[in-house]
Amino acid sequence: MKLKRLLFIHIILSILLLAGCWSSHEVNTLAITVCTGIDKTEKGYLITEQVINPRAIASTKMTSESPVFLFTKEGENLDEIIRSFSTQTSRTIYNAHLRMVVFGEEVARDGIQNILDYFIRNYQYRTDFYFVVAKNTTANEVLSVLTPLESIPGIDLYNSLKESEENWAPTKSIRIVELVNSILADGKNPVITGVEVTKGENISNSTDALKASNEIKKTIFTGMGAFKKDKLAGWLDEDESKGYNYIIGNVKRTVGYANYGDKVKVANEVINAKSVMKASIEKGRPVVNVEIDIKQNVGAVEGEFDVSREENIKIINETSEKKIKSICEKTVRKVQNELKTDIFGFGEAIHRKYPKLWEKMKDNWNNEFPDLAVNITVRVKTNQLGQITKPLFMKEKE
Amino acid sequence: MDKIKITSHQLFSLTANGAFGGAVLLISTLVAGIAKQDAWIAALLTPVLGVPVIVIYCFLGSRYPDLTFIGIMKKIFGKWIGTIVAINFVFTCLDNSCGIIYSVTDFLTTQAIPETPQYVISLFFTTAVVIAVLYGIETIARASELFLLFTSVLILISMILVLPNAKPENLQPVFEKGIIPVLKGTTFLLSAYTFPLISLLMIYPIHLNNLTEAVKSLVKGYLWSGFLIFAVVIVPLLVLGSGMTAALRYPGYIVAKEINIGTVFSRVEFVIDALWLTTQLVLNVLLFYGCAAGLSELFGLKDYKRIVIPLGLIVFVVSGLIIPDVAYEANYLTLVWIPHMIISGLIIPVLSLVVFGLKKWI
Repeated sequence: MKLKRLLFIHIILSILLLAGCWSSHEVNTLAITVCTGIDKTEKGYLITEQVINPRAIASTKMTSESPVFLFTKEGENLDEIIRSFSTQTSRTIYNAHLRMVVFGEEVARDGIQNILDYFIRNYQYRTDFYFVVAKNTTANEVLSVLTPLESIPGIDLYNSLKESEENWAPTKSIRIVELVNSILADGKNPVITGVEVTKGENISNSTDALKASNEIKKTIFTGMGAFKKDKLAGWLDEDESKGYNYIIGNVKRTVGYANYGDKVKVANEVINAKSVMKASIEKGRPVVNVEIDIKQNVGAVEGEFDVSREENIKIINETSEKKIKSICEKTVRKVQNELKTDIFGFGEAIHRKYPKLWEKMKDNWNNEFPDLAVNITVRVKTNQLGQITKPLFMKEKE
Repeated sequence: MDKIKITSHQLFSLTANGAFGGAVLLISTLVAGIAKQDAWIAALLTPVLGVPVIVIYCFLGSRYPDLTFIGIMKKIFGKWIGTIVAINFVFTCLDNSCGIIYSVTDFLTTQAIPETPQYVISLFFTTAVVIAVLYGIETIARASELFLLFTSVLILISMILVLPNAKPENLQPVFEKGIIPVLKGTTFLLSAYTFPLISLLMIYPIHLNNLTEAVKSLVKGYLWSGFLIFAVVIVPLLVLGSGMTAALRYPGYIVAKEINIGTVFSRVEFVIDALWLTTQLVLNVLLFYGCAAGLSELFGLKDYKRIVIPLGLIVFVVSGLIIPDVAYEANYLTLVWIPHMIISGLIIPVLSLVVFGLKKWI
């Protein structure tokens, strides 16, 4: 009997106290952030929060309100600033649905270590958002661009980055775990995709801009920022970014073309690319060998070139190999000579294979990296030709 | 009280749950802090060293099939030393059960409900433990049979689902700093999930019918939990890397945040939450039962249920005082808790085995 009474009290107490009323926040008291922009100012940071406007997103009636609002505030410390947004809005900032963090270029050049500490320490943040760096512009400006098709710009950026990484190689989505790990590792440095705002005539931070379909400001991912530890060291252009992704094995699908002679141009769809990075020792010095295996299909043929013939497929393979190899080598050269930061993780490859040797060289790695010998081997296999075999308008020569 | 008997499968699930509980979320950060990327080797090595310890427990129990651990100690060491050893046992159980309630409240206030006062959480948890112990060992055993199914399936599913994010190179190079850190990690793992099983000696010989079957199920339960712990140690290493795993407070939870299959199967980290609370509950019930039953036997009480509620109040209050802050926790774990567990869980059983042997020999 006593037990039953105790159980009864327990249930009653649970119902009263565990109904989620203790620190409950109803949805209509939250300001859901999808995108956070961080810029550097004289005072410290300028934070821009892109907050969803539920009236415009969820209502069944048409509204002319902007789908998102921007809140900006300056301050010294991230936590402090984000908390103090409550002076600007009646709703509490809620960070669990964050999709994107945009660093202003200046912040990135200055170092992002302290910012990352906040993002991983605070319990509200998950780990599934991406980081990008605003190139030649501020994070505030990137966030203020309204996007066509997807009404919430933060989600548009997120999906676009994800799509472009999968289908068009020169971007890379990076999440907090990978970012922190590559800053922590001695033999690896992070890379964060850059985002630019295109020039447009209309001011795009009002919904009127979306009524026009062209000539508006757009956000566009261009190239990647190479970091040295947590500081932005320089930019890779589109080709180099692609080369970077080939080397680290991050290409899922992309398109490349190969020239044969003056008139023939064959575009190839890469459907599968793998890379293996291995360290070895030659003449007492570490050497890194990168082997890239690519499978591709013929995507388009310009000029008179019969792709259905076996020897021509061989030519396509060879020219593609040459092309991809030259892209990769150009990337490595630029990174070694200009940026001088090991973004490929060559140091980690040495670390994995020769831990003892690495112990000696890891402190001096930044100075040794530019002189590291890197061998790149590319193997290309062309599988399919698409829906037709030889080009339609090719004249028979018999 | 002596007539209550549990089946050997129930003992299996009690062992597995008890060993696995307490460890799921915390353990990988501590082991990764010690052994870096070799922590998984430590997790593989632990059962190898742990099974002999479990066999010692079983041997001690099987010599005195109708006594509890308190009685066995009194038989082996005599009245006075035996009582002191028994008091230490009761204290170990009490201390650990406060510690577990602390870690539950700490976890919930760090990751989920930071605005809720710690005592509100520990009140509910302690009440649940007290009610479970009041129901008696049979109910506990049956519940743990159900829980084990639930926890094992969930932990394995979530660990498998996060594998697309795994990077095998996070485990390399193997043995970078030699074998010593691995052994240190093993010592830690032994203290974390092997030595607390000494509290099972309040249940093992006395509440079981078939002792040979029971030994088997004890070892089986221990090995199963060793496997689960191996999974929760290696997966954070694979997914997060050793540096990050060692820096995080609850890597198991962050790993669950990384689960992202399509857009449909994501945000499932509270599954891990539920699972952790369940295993913590079983382990805490075991320890609390050991404490209550042990103390009542020391005092010569007929029914341990009389002191469950007062003990529950003590545990409830002390759980909020035992660890004042997180910085203290790390020091406490390595400098106080591990030596204490080694004394209670390894040195005392081995000593009693030696004394037992000497007595037989003389």
